[in-house]
Amino acid sequence: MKKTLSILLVLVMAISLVACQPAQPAAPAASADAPAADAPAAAPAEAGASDTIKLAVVGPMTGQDAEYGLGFRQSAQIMADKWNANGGCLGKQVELVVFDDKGAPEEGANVAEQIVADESIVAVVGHFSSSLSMAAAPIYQEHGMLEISPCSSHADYTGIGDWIWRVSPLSADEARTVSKFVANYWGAKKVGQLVMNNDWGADIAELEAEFLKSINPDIEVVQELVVEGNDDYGPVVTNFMAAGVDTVICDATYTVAAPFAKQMRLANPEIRVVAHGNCQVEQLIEVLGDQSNNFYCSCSWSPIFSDEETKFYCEKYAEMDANDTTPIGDFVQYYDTVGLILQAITNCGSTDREAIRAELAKIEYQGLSGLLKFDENRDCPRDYGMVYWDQAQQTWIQNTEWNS
Amino acid sequence: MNSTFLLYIVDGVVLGLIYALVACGYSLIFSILRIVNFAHGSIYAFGALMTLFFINQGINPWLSVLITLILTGMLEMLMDKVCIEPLRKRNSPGVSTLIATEGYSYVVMNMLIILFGSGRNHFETFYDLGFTINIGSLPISSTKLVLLAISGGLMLLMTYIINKTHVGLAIRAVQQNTTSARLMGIKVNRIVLGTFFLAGATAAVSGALVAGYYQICYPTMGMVMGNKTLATALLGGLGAMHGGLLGGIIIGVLECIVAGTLGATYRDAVSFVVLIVILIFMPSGLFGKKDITKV
Repeated sequence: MKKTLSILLVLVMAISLVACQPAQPAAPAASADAPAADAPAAAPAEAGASDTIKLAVVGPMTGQDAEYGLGFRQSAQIMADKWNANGGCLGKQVELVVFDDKGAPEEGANVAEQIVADESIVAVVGHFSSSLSMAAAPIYQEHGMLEISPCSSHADYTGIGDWIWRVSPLSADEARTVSKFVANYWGAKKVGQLVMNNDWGADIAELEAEFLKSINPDIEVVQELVVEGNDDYGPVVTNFMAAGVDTVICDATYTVAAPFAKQMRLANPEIRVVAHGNCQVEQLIEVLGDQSNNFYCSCSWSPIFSDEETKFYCEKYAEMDANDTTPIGDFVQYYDTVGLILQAITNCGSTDREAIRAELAKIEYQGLSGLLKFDENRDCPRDYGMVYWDQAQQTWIQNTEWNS
Repeated sequence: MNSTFLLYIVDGVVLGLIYALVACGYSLIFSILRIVNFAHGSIYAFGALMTLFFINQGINPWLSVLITLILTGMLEMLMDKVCIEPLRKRNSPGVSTLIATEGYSYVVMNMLIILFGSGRNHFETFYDLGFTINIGSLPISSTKLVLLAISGGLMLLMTYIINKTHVGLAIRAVQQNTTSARLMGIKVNRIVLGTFFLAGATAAVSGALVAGYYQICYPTMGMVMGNKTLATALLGGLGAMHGGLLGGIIIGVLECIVAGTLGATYRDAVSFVVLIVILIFMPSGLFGKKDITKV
């Protein structure tokens, strides 16, 4: 009886779970696409000395931000496939070795140790968040490993060392864009800031407050710090309403911004809400549902662009992505970073890291996310644009609209 | 008292009801086995996501909750059969059971991430009656009223089951002395399994209601909620359903007042500070009964 009951329980649970299983993402085409644990242990003595050029692609492949990780991996793979289809780089096939930092800083440092132990890896494309990149960067710096982060915008990141670069615009660029938009385009008088309590959130919120004051000294700024994991934003919404804000800037990922914006709009639909590029995801629109109209995000790219490269990327992404998601600016920055590194290798004719680093200092690479040109701090400063949603469709606003 | 402060209190009461709903499951399991079920948060997330899955298949939301209620009940029963019963038979120390439930929690959570992805999903409120009443300057929506009614109703139902039915009598008998209960003809294993089923059922109801209230659900939604509702159950007194309700409202209101006045980053600390203070002065919680151990 007991055994029968146990077996019955297991069967019922298994059947119910299998029945609700959504379509799984396509299996990686190459073994190199496997997570860190499966990464090849043996490595040639010199970077790129084998028949392939190996680039490490690092991001949150599992955990809370896994949907970002999947987009990064797929976008990087599209660029690698594009090069491979055209004969590779320096006549060698490009191989991506995917590492999972789980979105946790301590895991980021562990992954960095694994990467620097593999001499065959030429450069690192990652990590996603500033907290992770800054936890891993000292290890890359110590071992002379080139790290180019597509998305880390914290002001102090590239200051860690001369092996540490970024393709992402800086927090200051994001903050300036949003501040100008809010103050010049919307004419906001009292601005609320919903600040996620991490390195990036605190940094960008401080910068925004400075920019807002410099644009209009009469602007009042009200700040509310929040932590991820609580979906109840009732007291924060109450405080913003009591303070009489006309605009709220979400310095947070969509996991915080989406439930907050929903509750804010239900309480007072008149208060305008704007966020950053990490909120340009479909899940945000899905969570907001009919409240998504006129939700604004600063970003570097939108899938509605009509250029050929965007069309190519979006087509390939749709072919690769089993979940039918729409790519975002952060994904495109992984795509651009792989292209940038391969172009630098081609230009200098070597996979020697010193040579690549020297080439990066003078390269000008036209990526989907803008013209990538590094300054003396190894940053790629540039202005963002803005998208907003109307009936779940993105509309782009060029930054000239508010810069002027 | 100004209207902002009153809003904190109203928000806090609603939050407290939510905590009390989820805390039911902890109390039920503790009342019979004297173990804290760390998997309850993940099973609550399972309840929300499975309800969403059935709703997306076009099934009526209330029927979806009913189907999910059976599934979550079975998931809790499975945990007992796979993780807890083997340890119970070997008279393993309580800490082994705690760790086993924690492990089961991660298994369920990761399974949900594999099945549903790690992202946030929209969960349409299915109990919005579409009206708002104003008490003075305070707007109270129908969703809050329904949440209040269901939470209160569920507490009453559980209290009735435990105190007034034969099943409840058997549960209390097993709780007091398993051997004597067995000698009296009570099928102890069946009672234990039944209690796990009830705990799972409350997780389904609370998962669906909370997801509907915030209009969001995701696989890790039980992590923070699980910790806070455990604090709620401990504050009220594990095993005491009405204690959970009061504990929930105390923690919910305090959290909202602290989040509103000191900042939202301090809100998580409130539950645990209150819990520590209460446990120092009232180790069994507000309404918990002291364990009497024979020597």
